[in-house]
Formats: sequence, C-alpha cells, structure tokens
Amino acid sequence: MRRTDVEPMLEARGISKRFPGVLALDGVSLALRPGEVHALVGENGAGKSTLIKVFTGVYRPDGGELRYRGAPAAFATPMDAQRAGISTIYQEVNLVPMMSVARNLLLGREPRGRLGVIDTAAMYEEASRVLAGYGVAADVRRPLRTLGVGAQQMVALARAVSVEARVVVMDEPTSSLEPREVETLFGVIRRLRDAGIAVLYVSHRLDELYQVCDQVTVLRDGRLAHTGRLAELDRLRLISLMLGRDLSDVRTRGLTRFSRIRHRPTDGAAAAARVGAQGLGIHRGDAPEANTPTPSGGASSRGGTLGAVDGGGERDDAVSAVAPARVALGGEPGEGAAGVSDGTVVAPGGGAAAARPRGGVSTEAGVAVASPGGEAGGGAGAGEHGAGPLGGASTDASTTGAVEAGGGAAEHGAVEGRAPVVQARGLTRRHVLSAVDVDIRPGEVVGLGGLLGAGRTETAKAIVGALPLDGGQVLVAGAPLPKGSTAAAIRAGVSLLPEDRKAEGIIPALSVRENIALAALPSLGRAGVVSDTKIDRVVEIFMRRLRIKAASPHQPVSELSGGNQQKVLLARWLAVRPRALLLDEPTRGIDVGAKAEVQALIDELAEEGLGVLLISSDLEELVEGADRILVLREGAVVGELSGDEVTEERIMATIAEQSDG
Amino acid sequence: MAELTARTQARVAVLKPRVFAWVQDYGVYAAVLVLLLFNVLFTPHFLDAANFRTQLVQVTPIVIVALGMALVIGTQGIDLSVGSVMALAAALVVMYLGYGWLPALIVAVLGGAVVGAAGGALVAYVGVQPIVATLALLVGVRGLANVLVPQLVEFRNPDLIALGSSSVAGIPVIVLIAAALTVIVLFVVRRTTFGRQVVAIGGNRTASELSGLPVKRVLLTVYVISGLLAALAGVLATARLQASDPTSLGLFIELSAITAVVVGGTPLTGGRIRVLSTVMGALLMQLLSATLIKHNLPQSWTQMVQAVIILAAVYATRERR
Repeated sequence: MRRTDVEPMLEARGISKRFPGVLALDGVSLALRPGEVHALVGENGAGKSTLIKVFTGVYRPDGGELRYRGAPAAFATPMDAQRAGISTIYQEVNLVPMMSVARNLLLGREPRGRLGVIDTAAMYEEASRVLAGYGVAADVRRPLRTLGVGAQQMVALARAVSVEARVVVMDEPTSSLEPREVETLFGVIRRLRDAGIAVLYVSHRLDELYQVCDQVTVLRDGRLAHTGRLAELDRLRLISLMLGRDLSDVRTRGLTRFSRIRHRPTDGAAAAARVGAQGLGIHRGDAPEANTPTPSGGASSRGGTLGAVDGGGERDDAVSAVAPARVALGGEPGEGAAGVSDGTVVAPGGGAAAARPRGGVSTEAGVAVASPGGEAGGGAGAGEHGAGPLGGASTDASTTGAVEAGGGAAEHGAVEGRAPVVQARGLTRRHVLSAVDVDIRPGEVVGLGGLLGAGRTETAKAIVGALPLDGGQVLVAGAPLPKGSTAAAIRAGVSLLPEDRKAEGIIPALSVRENIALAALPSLGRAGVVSDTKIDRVVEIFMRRLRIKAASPHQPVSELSGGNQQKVLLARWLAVRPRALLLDEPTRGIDVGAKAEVQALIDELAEEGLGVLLISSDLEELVEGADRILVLREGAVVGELSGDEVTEERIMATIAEQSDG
Repeated sequence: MAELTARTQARVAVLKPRVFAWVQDYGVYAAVLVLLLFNVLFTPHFLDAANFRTQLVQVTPIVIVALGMALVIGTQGIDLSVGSVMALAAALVVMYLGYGWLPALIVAVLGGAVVGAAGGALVAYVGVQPIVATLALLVGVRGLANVLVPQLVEFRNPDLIALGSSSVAGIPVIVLIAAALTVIVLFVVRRTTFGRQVVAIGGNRTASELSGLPVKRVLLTVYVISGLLAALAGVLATARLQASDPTSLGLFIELSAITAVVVGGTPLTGGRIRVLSTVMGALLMQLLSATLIKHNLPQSWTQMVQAVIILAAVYATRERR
C-alpha cells in the first residue's frame, strides 16, 4: 500500500491561468507523488491541457504556486522543465522521423569519441540495449519513421525516461496503439511507478484508467471537481463528475422531457399563443421520393402561405421557401402548453403545436399513417395541398413551404415506421471507429452520446464523407453515397455543421451574405453566373428567420458573435434544403439566448421532417433534444436509448459499462 | 488640457483602423494619382500620347500575367511558372506559324493551359506545395521552350506583327486585349459561382470542403487560367517583338506579377482577390520606374523604391487582421 502522505514530487497549488476572455484554470491543485500513476480526466475545455502545459513549462501560471521536489519552481521554457526531470509524451509523437531510431533516442546525449565525433557503434549498441527493455526489437540504424506508431511511441517513452525523468506526463498515449502495444505500455508504466517515478496519465478510456492508475483528478470548467484514489470511485460516479451531472439530482428531478415549446419565452397567454410554428420550407418537395413536408400548422395562420418562392420546377431552382408567417396558437398560458406523452409532444387542446410531419413518402404511405388533423390538435381541418398523409405526398411535389395544415400530433410510431433518410452501416476506421451503424429517420433527432474521443465527431464526419474510412457505407434515402465526397453527400441532402466553427465552418474574410450562400451557390444562379437577386432573397429570408443579428448582410462574418456565426452556418445548410442535418456541438461557445434559439430551431426543423443528428457534450441538451440516443465508446456503439430510457443517468450508465462485460 | 489630449488620442484610435482600411482599399489608386500628378508637373513631354502608349504597351504582359496570379494567390497559392509559360508560348507560336497566326496562337495558349493543368494537378490532387510545384515548372518549361526554339527566331507573318503593333482609335490592340481580359477576370471573380468559390477556398479550405465545394477542381482550374493568361501574354509579347525569344522572354515576370498583386492589396494569405487594384499595382510599378528613369536616376534606385512600396503594401494588408 502506497502512502499518500509522501512528499509530492510535483505539485500545483491553487494554479490559475487566464486567457483573453477565459479563465482556463481556476485555483486548481494537484499533487503528483513518486511511485504513483495519477489520472487526469475532464471533458473538452476542462483545462487538462492547460494544466499539463503549466507543469511542463509551456505556460506560466497567473496565480498559485508550482512546487517541484519540495521547493517552489518556475519553468521558463519546456526545455527547463525537461532538464529538471519532467518529461512529456504527447499524442503525436514528437521525434524526428527522418533520423535513425538510435539518434532519436539519444538525441543531444550521443556517446562521443575523441575529437567530439559521435561514436556511432557505441550509440547503436546503447540504443538497442535500452529499447530491448521496452519490448522494441528494431534495427536502430533505420529511420524512425519506418517503425510502427506504437514502437515510435515506445522510443519517445524510452527517451523521456532515459533523460532521468522524475515526472512523466502522458497525454493520451494509447490513442494510436494496438491492444498488444497498450499492454507493453502499461508494463512500462508499472515499471516507472516501481522505480519511484511520478506519472501523470491523461486519457478518456476508462478501462485504461482503472487498469493502470492509482489516483485520479477530475477537472471541469477549469476547476477541480474531484481528487482522490481511483479505486474508491466507481465508473458511474467518475463519469458524472466529468460531465458535471449530479446523480442524485438526475434521479430526483423530473426528467425535463423534450418540449419544443419549452425553450421559448412564455409570458402569459399572449406569449404562449405566439409560439411560432413557422414553416421553414426547407424540404425538397420536388424530389420524387421526398416526404412532402406538412409543417406544423396552427389554427389561424396570420401570414398565410408563402409557398415555394420559385415555384417548383427544376429541383435546384426552387429557392427554399420560408413562410415568415407566425402561426398563432390558441394555447394555454405558460409552459404547460405542451402536454407530454410517450415521448411525443402533443398539442394542447386549443391549437396544434408540434406536429411532426406525417406520412409523406409515397412508398410507405401505408405504414406512416397519422391522423389527418384533429386528433390531438383539434385545429383546422387537414390542409389542402399535400397535407393529407396518404395521397398528396407524391402527387403535388411543388408545395414546399408552409401549408395550412391542420394540427395533429404525429405518433411516435409514425416517425419510427418511416424509412430512414440516412443509414450508415459499419463505419470503420482504424483506431477511430469500429462498425458504427446509425439510422436517422425523417423528423427524428438522434443524439450521439459518449465521452470526448469516443468517436462522435468522427461518426458525423464519416457520414458526410469528410473522414476517410477503411470500411462501411452510407445510404441516403436508400441510395449509397460515393465514398469520401462531401459534395455528393450534400447533393444527396446530408450536411454537417462542424464542431469547430472557426476552423471548419465560417469563412472569416467573407461577408454574412457570402457565407450563407456558399453551399447553395450552384443553385443560386444560371450557367455559373450568380444571381444577386436570388442570393439576396435567400439571405434576407434566413437572416430574418433565424434572427441573425448583423449590421448588414455585407458585414464580415468574423465580426459577428459566436451565436450569430452559428446561425449563419445553419442558414448556409438550410439554404441547400437538406434531408438530414448533422449538428456537432451546435450550441458550444454561444451565449444563452442564442443557445435557446438554436435549440428551438433544431426542434422546429425536426418537426418539419428533417432528420437531425445531434452531438452534444451537454447531457441536458442531449436528453432534451433527442428522441433516441446512440451511446459511443471507443469508436463503437455500445448502447441505444429510446423512449423513457433517454435520461442523463442512463447515458452515463451506458458509458460506464465495462467493455467486455 | 489633459482631457483634450485624451480625446484627441481617442479620436486617433478610432480613426487609425479606418485610415488603414482606406489605405488598403484605395492606397494604390492614390499612389498612381500622386505619381501621375508629379509627372504632369515635373516631367517634360509626359502628357504626350506616344509616351502614354509606350508605358501601357510595356506594362501589358505584366498586367495579363498578374490577373492570373491574383486568382492563384486568392487561393493561398502562387504560380512561379508564368514566365516560362510565356517562353513556351513564344516557342510554340513561331513553330506553328506556318498554319496561320490563329492556329498558332491557339496551340500556344493550349500549351500554357497544359502547363497550368500540370501545376494545378500537382497542387490540388498530389498535394505538392504551390511554390514547389510551380518552381519545378519554372525550371522545366523554360528548358522545354529552349529545346523547341534554341535561339531567337524572327518571323514575318504580317497578321501576328499587326496584332503586336496596330492600334484602334490610337490605342494599341494589345492594350485593348489586356483591358478586355481585366473586365472578364473581374466578372469571373465578382459574378460567377466559380469566382466566389475561389475566394471561399482561399479564405478557409476546410470549411469549403465541408460545404461541398469542388475544391480540387477549382484549384486546378485556377492554375489552368493562370497558364492560359501567361501564354497569351507570351504570344502578345512575341508579336510586339516580331521575334520569338524563349531564352529571355518573361524572365522574372513572375516577380513583377506577384508585386502587382501584393501592391494592389491582395493578401498572400488568400481569401480576397482585388482585380482592378492588381492592374493598378502593375501600373504603379511601371510608372515609378518610368518616372525615375526620366529623371535620370539609375535603375538601382527604382529597385530600392519598389522594395519600399512592396513592404508598405504588405504592411497595410497585414494590419486588418
């Protein structure tokens, strides 16, 4: 039994680190003791990397104290820290690929003969001897890059240890290792521990943590959430600490079931009645197999129907029609307006609220039967054009846009019975995804749950062809997508709102207008010449509809707030009239107001028949937003939750389940 | 008093970015205007039509090449092969002149397109850095041109000579061609899907890929256009010289073209293409060297002043980030 009262080797005491606009670390303390493997865990933005960088001399703390071997320490550079005995092994091996294995291992400490010339024979001998101890039997004369990633990592590790390290920091060392290599690594880690070296181990793989770590520190939002012995912490508890959900809280609190109306400000009856169920008209009504959208309708539609702006015709020609009409609902005041039953939002007595589109697809018209208006909603009668669940679908395809449909809530079964718009089968990529299956049905929000690095983002990218795959296939409306073509996925109607808004989403130098029109450009012109009138119309519609706050459409998008940038990106996708939208952390880093607006928008889109894949690290958002949740762990689907199972507790429990039982 | 100073400072702080934005957007025009004014006042015979014509004719190849260069730079790329493409076009045009000037011109321009496609394919599909890919072409294509036409060849095709030396309403035909090309490129950049895609790809390639833009095809096309324009510039320069000179035609023109683009305010980091300013940039450099020569200052002075202007332009484009 190791004692925890041993003098720490490296210790952080109340460390704070501030970046412009963010407090990355807020009074964090952590003690690494010799002969201990210490796990550092936390979700994205929790402050793990910042803390590591403070330890290794990359950052200087703004507050608090760093103590090393019992004395205050300040490392000016990573080199200083390394000389003092703190070695770091990063995710990406940071060695020199073109140099020989031996040179890499002994870089800067090569054995020298007379005249200061490197004694190559001695160097090779030394290198072979050292590496043999790490289970690497390779020709040390060959360039490092000829070794496998695992062996390269071992070289990095051997190098880190051989520079007389007292502290070794490992940042996700196993992310690209084979299981056999992981075993070797663990062997080495145990040896380090036995040699009295302090190890800081960062990983999201719970199995690994429990195999090799003694202590654990959990960071959340830059603060210390927990520190203590790992063995005393069960998996579920660990996950709830990481995700910031209090278990008892989740148990006792009534589950805030998904309500599309709940997000809106409800201020008395008037406000409740104003709940906008505008038809977005984002659908491809003209596509032969398209599900004719029958957006939720209300009793008295003030603005009337706008219909397709361009009037049907060629598929690409019809600019997305948006009905700016605000549908007045005769609802009851307050949040109680939406009754909840069986995972479906049922409209209150007065007017139809969230009606998921019904029927529509001609091929399955027999299956997807929902009551044509009235049953729950009691609104006006069924709409005239294309609103009928059975017949109108395939006949009158040009009636995109808002239809004065009667109310009536779609049964959950109607959504389930519908053929999936996106079917991903066996998505596989080495070390990243293994045989992931995802189905997204029209009108359904599918959540992807899991910890950071579980493969959520990768799954979404794989579906739109932005991630090269070793295997698997994606079908959209039954037709296979060509591999590796984002353009083809978008043409087929599947778009991805990427996680990293700045790097992968906006084009900062361009205006709001250009950013919105970007993906739809080919359809917003003729013979390759863009039509400013068409663009202006689409941009105007979406800026108003999504309430994008910008000085003008010509303002550079980089000057907008995060929330408005996100809305611009949503507008970009809605302008191409997708069948399915994959949203990767759509509300991350945007303010509360914009967050609620984006969430409400997601709801509306689903109601209108769009298939939505929602990725969110915010469990509450996931649970409230999704109809069904797939839980991922280490690149594989480990559970599917639907109906009453969609709870924060169940998600965490599913993540926590031991792999291999 | 102190308050007043503070207010002035605040005003300066507000004003400074605006001034910078203005300099960045219109600095080239202002500089050209200042130089013109200076010359009108202090340079004898500057206002002669003949002088103007000479200046314009001299700057024409640079303008045409710079138009293509601006597109390439807009995608965060660079095309060093333009000078060699001019040389290849010069070689091809005299080789096929026997079939008539038009077929010869077409062959030469196609040759340029092929070189551009090679560079574009290396950049877009193989993933070679633009500077490396086009550097290889700079060396190789110049060699190819020299193999095809080892030494200077004079020609007597009257049509080609006429292309290089005739005028319409007092304006040389080649200047008119350059003007027309400027308008076309301007239209492409501002009004076509392709042009918007070029700018978007230069602004954020990953985002463009995720938005389903045909990134590789657009990149390839951009280099093809650059090759086409360079080849056309080569034919026009050859027509004016009345001789094909693959050994020295277009030497270092890539640098002049890059200078014109940069001085025009197009950032090398991509995402922005300023067509008219690029033309102005070329005119500015031409006017500058002409002015200094007319005032009997040595060539080395011109080079140093040009260096100052380039640095100033780069500084101005940097500031806005």
